Amino acid sequence: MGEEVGGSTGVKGLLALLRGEQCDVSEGVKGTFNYSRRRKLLFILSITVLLTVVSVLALGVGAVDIPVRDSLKVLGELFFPQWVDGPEADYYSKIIINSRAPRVVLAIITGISLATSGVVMQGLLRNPLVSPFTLGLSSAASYGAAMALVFGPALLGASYYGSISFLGGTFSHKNLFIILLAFISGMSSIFLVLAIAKTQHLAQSVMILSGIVVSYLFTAGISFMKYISEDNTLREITLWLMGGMWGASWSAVAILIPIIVVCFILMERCAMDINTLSSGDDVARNLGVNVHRLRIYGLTVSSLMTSSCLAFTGVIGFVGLMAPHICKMVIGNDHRYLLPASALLGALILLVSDTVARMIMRPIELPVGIIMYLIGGAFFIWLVTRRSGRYLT
Amino acid sequence: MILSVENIDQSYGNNHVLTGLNFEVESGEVVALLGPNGSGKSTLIKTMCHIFPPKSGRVAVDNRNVSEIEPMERAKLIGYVPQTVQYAPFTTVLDTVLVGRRPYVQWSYSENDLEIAAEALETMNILDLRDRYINELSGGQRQRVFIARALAQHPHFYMFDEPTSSLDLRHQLKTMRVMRDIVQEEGCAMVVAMHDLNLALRYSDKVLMLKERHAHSYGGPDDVINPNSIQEVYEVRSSVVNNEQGAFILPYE
Repeated sequence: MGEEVGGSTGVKGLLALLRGEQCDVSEGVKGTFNYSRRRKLLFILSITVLLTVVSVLALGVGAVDIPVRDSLKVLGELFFPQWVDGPEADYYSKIIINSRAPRVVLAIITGISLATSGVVMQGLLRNPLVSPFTLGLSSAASYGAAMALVFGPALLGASYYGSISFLGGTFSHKNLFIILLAFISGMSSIFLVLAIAKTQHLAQSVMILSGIVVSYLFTAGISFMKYISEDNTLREITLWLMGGMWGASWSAVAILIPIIVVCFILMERCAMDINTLSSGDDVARNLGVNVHRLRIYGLTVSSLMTSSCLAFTGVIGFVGLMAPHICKMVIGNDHRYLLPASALLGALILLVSDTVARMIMRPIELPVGIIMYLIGGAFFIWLVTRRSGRYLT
Repeated sequence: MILSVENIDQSYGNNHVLTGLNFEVESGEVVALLGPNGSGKSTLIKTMCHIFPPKSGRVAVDNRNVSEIEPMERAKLIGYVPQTVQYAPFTTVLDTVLVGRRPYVQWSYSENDLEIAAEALETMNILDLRDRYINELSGGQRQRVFIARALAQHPHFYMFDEPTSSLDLRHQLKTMRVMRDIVQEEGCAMVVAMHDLNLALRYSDKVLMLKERHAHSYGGPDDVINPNSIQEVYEVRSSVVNNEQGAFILPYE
């Protein structure tokens, strides 16, 4: 991104742009272009800073409060042991490293994956109201996860409780099986919705309605799974459906980070093609884009991203709707910038919500899903009823 | 360069839209496509752009079948402006026009891309709107943005599906004049589907009149657009009025 326009290359050019050089709108098209680029980059930068600050604060919040200074010391000791001394109390390190840090990281990557999928789905289907949640993908992925929990022990036998070591990490078979079934189930929901909506030429309202119907179908499936499951499994499934970060562990994070990073890069590479779709399928085709392939590819990658996170967190709604819309209003619809901006904002929204969920009834933790339903529901109503923007056709 | 439509058939399911159609567009020409609603004008435009490949027959540029040309290379040859413009809210006018540069860029826009976009905005008289969101504009302004996007695409053959349908009188004439000039100056070619017979008469070099899936007549505008053909194709009576500005068609019931 640093090599655009005006011979300003690399970091030097980027810094010049951020300082506001050649960014005068009255200087014609180049000025307007640089002004808007600067605005996008500054927005992304601010969210990054805010996310970093909130992450450090979130590490200190919980049943035991840890001062910010000590949280920083724990991080310092972790990354630069030769230069930074540890915190005053030893157990601070244990709490942060073993319990809170994986949770914060899980909230961040789940936020990234939900928001990225939201932007990609909205861009690919040219429908501002679609997201992993509204298309039924969240329920479907949870259904897959519930199936894995209920049938896993019977299908995989003793190996269900085993694990494999790969690239220095240990991954439990159970978690990998959950991701696999969540992904297959999530994908099938997306293509079911598409198949229904395609009969009506992908009409926006039909797509939302099919999302609701498919979501109900999978919810029925989940109820069935609950009905036939044993007590322990039932509790596990129930907790999941509330949507929370209890599943956080370093092994979960170690599985998810490579998936999310690779999927995000794959999506970012399609950003220019997604931009052409905003002018309609025919125009995109005329501009050399294989629309059908792009749509299948993008939806598959975003389903993989979402399903694998949801396999650990359960149903979390609305992040994929809120983050993209707020970003679009601030920086516009250029997906090259919109994808990273939404991803970071999604991470911020989910992390703040999860931290609030941990604080609000201390020492009891609320599932973050409940908080997201409250905020997200209100946002959705505002989105559909606002006069400007004309969201539904 | 010559774009030739060779014996094409086109259909949606069992609904045949075009049958056995032949004609050619040469560099430096403006060809008007005329015909009543449902006569296949839009389908022909989309077939020529390879948005819908023909069911049989072929569309060729200099004897190369367009379906065998790489998509990005094809995008540099043939540009398209649809009848109804679609857009995503919160896309700026400049970003929309820059999308036309997609076949030429991988990731970042160069200085040259910006200059071409600026020129396209200037040509369509929308340079002041460049930082506005496209959802804030009027229908006519939006249509001009989409024409500017096609100009930024810089193809050799422009395919326009009723590009002036939302424009006021002044901008209709101005847009047709601008396109006419571009075709003459750059030696490219343009095919325009339209309903306004007088615009076709005034600004086109050739006219293809479609009726019920077939070509009714094809030739110079003065030869094709006359009360007889209008009666046969549109089932409307008309007369030709001559004044110092040239000939005009006056339709009546």
